[in-house]
Amino acid sequence: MSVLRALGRILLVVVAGGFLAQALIVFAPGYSADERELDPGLSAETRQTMLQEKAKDRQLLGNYGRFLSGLARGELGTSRSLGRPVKELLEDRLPVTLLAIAKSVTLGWCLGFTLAVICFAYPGSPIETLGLVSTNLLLCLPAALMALLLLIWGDARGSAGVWVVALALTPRIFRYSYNLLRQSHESPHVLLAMAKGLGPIRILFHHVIPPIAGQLIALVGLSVSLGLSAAIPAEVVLDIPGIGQLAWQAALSRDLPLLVNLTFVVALIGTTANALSDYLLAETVPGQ
Amino acid sequence: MKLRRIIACLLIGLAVLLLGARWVAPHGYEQQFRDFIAASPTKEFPLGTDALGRDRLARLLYGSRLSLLLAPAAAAVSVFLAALIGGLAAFAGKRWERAILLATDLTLSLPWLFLILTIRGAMPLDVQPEISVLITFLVLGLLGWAGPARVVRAGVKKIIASDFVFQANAMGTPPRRIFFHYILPNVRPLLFAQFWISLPVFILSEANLGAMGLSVSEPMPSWGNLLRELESQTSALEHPLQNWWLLAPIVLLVGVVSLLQVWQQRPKGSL
Repeated sequence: MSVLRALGRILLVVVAGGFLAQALIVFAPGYSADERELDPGLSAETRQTMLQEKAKDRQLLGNYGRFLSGLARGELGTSRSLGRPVKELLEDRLPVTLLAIAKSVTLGWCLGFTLAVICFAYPGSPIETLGLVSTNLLLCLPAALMALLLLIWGDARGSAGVWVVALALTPRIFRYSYNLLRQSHESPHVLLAMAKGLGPIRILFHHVIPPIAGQLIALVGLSVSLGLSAAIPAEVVLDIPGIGQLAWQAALSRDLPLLVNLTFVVALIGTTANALSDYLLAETVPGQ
Repeated sequence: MKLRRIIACLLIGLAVLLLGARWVAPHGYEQQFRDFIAASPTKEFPLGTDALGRDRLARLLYGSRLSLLLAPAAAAVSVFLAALIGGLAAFAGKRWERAILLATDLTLSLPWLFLILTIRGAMPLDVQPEISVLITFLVLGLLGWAGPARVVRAGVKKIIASDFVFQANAMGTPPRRIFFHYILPNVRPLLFAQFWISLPVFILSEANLGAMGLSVSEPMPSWGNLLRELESQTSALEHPLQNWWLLAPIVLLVGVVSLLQVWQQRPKGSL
């Protein structure tokens, strides 16, 4: 896969994703309603201006064209609810979320994959049962609840957000890796290796893991998108100033410029992570 | 199979109990008792009362009923859409397929919770509780089609390529008959599987949305709202054994989702 084609795909998805989000928000019933209208102190002119502002938002193509040309010049507009340039807001908050996601994905993979290998190595043992039960339990906890429990019983600030996202990722990584390992273990070439008397560690690293490396790498890309989903409630509950919390604030105040920019950023992160995992796949696994 | 039967019995029993919440719950979910604000459990209020003097047991029963009845409805909407869109992609030629695949890629490129949050935020927030319920679960149902649609498309394509469809085509069977008599019956198990997979996802999504204040409006309870209430009880929850009744919504939510997860689990070795 050429780099140019991958970049083109990222660009297409991000641009179309931004447009789709704008269209969905603007045409959602209730978008034209504004909480500020409830303020009895508002003058008729201000109300009129607000209405005109909302009516302008419905000119989708024109608005989006202006947004894209602004983006090309590095201008991202101003947040209506926070009254600050979107660029400044993103500069403040994006690194917080990106760093947390990077740490969470690493931690989630360390926990999930290690647990999968341990459970795979000891089938039918209490360790396997414990691994399956604990990951099933984690799968049943919404990220917001995990954040709340960490807020109450754990270290509320600092690394709590990283742990919430990592614990949300762990059961998914575990389940997928564990099933892949079991499937790969049943392949004829593994049976042959066992029949030849190879050691279990050699069988695991030379015969079981290599055939599933491609699927595992693909899951790394997907983990970033899953992590972003879990980061939103985690940042809201734990009051972490990242883009998840910003998205929540923008959604509550129907801040269109901020929401479109955030959609752009989130789609960019997700598609770039997937493209990177595709690239890694092509480089490491021949024929993929 | 035995485990699945036990789970089915438990879930049906719970559903019956929740459907009869009106008779089981000692009070209405919005009824306030101003002399019993944030009270501990008593005979009259088995799970105590909340900060507004409302019976916690009644709120838990009604909230669970709402989440447990509407999450399947939302899952049914999303699977129906997935069947339509995925079936169209597999059946209606290359152009449609490409367009639909691009639309699914676009939808899937945005994290699920971000997409719901954005759309739910654009919907009216200060509406009647009944309408907020409808909006919340409709948003979940309407946005959850992309993943299942991909699976349905792959499944339908596989069936179209099978020998019995090939034979039916060779015998001159009309396309409509092929669809209803050959494809639909074979794709039905796939749709059921997607329904069961979506169900816990939607329950957890509602809980996450509720915890962020974007789900069902007060005074109507849902699992999400009940979790949000816990955010103001952090000091009491520091001593969970003394305040065990506050944990009831968490226990019920985790219990039900665990049952659903085990129910839809596939045999070992499959993906």
